[in-house]
Amino acid sequence: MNAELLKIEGLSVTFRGARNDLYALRDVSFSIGGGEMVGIVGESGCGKSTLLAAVSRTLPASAKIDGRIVFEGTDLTALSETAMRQMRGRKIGTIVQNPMTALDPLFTIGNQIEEVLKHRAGAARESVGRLALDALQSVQIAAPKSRLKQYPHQLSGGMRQRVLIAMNACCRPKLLLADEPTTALDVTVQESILQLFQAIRHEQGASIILVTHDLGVVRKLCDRVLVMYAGRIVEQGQVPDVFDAPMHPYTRALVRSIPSGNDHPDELYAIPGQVPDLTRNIVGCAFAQRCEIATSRCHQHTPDLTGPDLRRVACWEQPRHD
Amino acid sequence: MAVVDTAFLRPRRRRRTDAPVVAALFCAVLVAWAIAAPLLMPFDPNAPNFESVLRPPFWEEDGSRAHLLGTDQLGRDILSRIMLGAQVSLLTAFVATVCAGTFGIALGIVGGYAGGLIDMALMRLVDTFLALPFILMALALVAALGAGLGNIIVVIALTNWARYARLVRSEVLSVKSRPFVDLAKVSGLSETAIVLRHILPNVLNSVLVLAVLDIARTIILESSLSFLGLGVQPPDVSWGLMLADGRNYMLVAWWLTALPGAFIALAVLSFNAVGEWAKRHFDPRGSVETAI
Amino acid sequence: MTDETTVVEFKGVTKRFKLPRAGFFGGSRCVTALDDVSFKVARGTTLGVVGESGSGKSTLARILLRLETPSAGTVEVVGQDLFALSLDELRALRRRVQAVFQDPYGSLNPRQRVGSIVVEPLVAQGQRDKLALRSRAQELLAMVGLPERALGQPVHEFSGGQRQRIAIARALSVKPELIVLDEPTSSLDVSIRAQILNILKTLQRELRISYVFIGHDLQTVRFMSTTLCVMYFGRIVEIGPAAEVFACPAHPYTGMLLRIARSRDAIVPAPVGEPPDPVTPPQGCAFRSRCQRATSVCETLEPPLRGVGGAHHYAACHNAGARVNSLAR
Repeated sequence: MNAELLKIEGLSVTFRGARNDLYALRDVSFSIGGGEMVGIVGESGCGKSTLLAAVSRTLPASAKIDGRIVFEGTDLTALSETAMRQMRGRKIGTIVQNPMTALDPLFTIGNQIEEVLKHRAGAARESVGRLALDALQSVQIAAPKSRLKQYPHQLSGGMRQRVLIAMNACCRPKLLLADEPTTALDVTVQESILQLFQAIRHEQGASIILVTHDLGVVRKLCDRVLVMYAGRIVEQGQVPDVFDAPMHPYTRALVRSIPSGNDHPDELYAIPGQVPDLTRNIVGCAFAQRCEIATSRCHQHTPDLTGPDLRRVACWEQPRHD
Repeated sequence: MAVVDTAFLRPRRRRRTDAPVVAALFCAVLVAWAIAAPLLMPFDPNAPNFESVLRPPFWEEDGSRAHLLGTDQLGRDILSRIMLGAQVSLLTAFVATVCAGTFGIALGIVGGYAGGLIDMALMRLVDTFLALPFILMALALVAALGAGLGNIIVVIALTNWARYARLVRSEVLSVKSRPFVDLAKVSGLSETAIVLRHILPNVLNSVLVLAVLDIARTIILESSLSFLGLGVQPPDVSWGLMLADGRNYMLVAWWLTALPGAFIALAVLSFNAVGEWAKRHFDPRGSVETAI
Repeated sequence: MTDETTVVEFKGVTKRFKLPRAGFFGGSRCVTALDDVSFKVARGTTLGVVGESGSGKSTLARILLRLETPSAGTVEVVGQDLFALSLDELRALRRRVQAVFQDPYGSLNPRQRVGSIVVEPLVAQGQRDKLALRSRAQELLAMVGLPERALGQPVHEFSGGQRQRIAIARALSVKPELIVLDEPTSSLDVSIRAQILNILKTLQRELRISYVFIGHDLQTVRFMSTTLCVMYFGRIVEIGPAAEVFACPAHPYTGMLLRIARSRDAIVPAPVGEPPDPVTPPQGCAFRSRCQRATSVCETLEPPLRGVGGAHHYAACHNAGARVNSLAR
């Protein structure tokens, strides 16, 4: 079993607002080992992006964080901002949905990669030019020499994402946090970006947490998956297990509602109702209102995430693995 | 076993608000004076009283409860004059803003929606007006039209309209590109109907914010002109005029200039505070700042 | 020859956009967003249009809605030439074609109430009777599964999925014959997507409306479509009955999309490259830089749409054929 790279214990995040508080994450715990590819799926408001932001400590000041985030033995929540800055970029990398927000429009691609190499990867000044070229080649950008001289707006969305990945990969981070990295990209470009992630995991042994609402992406890329709903993890396990034999009613409903090319039904399965209001305190299981098999117990008591390490579910109506 | 979730139950908190309550109250007082000054004034602001000349405010040694804020060199009651002055300042601000706003909105919508050469022509006109220095323009217009309240309203409107036009034009450009405008066309709505039902209502928010902030600006503009003698003329009363009147007595009677000056400052601060609050709530994208 | 069953027909539609010149001395540049696009939509059916960025699918929608004018070609809606109409004729025709767009937040005027939004097309057509409008509004909300009290509510109280329902209700108000749906569910959560797609399908069955359904997700488009049209770089590269195109894709691009969609557990080996630069379009086939079947003719001659296999199934490929179909599975 791989040593634990990241261990999250009892993480809760509450956003303080002018009128009320938003309970974005409620008591989330899980861990990741080295070289693991973990997907976090869920719909809007489930807290997956908040989770990533909590790990990289980029939440706004109005956020109240409880719990521990232990990375290689250090509690990230207790670190000073300076120390955290050292972590980010060197040991923890970030890939965002819109790479344009992470790239500076005023500097060429070459400039930006070289800067990262110099300051974060500690490369020698003479070699940055060559290393920048290597970085672009490693992410399969065609004609890398001319690309180095171009500005971000001259590149397509897919190329920008590759540049962002290159900038992260050249620092050889231990953990890569990717928030919807392929959502804004065309389907054909998406496949090659997913391949890049695979390559990074393979060659550098990095662990990757991929947050997305697209189950297909997680299915293709990840080893393990966490399904989130209304700020909690409701199911986790190995990808084939969770998608082929989902145990939580929400996961089951999610898998059923996606049209697959192999069968053409006249109607899709649609989960009735909507995600609950996260500013209200939710008593009992958050999914109970929309669940087909909910009982009175489900409405009163919140189920814990239980089960063996490799397969956990938070549902009263599941066979318990005690 | 799990128990009922009490972890996230917390006592209801009093709603936190960021409204500038004191500022709003002060503005309300000024507005009340503006509307009903003649009814509320304790004395006739133009009636001289040579027995009670240069009395200090009531908290000073020589002051009296009768004249709360003292009297000036002709024995006229300062408080009454300030109240009437409020009427003048706010009236000027309101009328000038409405004129500038209406004209500016109309041109801004035409330019923004029509685009092309019309838009370019409009923008050059706006640039020209914004480039002219206010005092110079005021002097020229007063030389042409003469001094007086009506004329300075015209002067102020002429200097302000361009800001509304520019703001509205940029807002129209942004609203025009939103899908619901295209969908209104697809519905078969005429261009006029689109402008009135879809474009205009979405532009008004930032216009309102600009108008409130403009009140503060106009108060200063009007006071400056009146101070220079170009604006309000006696027997009309204006804070700026009071400043000019009291200038010669500053060393012996500080209240003649300090009090109207304080009211100018407080009025500006209060309207600005209310305007900033309005901006936070009605113009979260900051269009007002970038457009003016 | 106007066909009673054809709701929309595109004939050789081309659209070019002018770009600002590159620097002072550069010549004028233009981008061809649509190149010689032709198709028909039969009454009560759905034409699914699939394509990625730069394929021209959104331009197609905008031309169909007369929000853009084609540079060449004609568009016929229920037999009438869309771009040869007077203002009055146009307004009357607008009743027949409505739209639902991708962005649920930008599609509704934030200053309007729901009740007034859903009947606006009727008002635009001249309906003034307040009572009739109100009862029609109630009817429409019921059709899309929204409660009656939504009528008086302001738009900001509704979620993305609910807003799309309002947009659909609005489109239905004038009983159109065709609704253009441009990525209507792409901005919605997966579980909400299913709700909206089901509503659309039910309405089509009950009201015999035609759809032009545009999307980038093959599975979603397939679920909705009778006829499938695949676009690449402004051209139609394949078009035919949905089931057949899915079962036997003739164009390598369709094949690529299908492989990616079907491979659920494994990443499809990198289809290399990206679409060519639209400002400097290549000679010959636009897909050849990424195509495994490309031969020398592909570099010089742009492939025309030709019949392949079954009836009404066309593909624009020099090397389309049965042999390739087996590779595509």
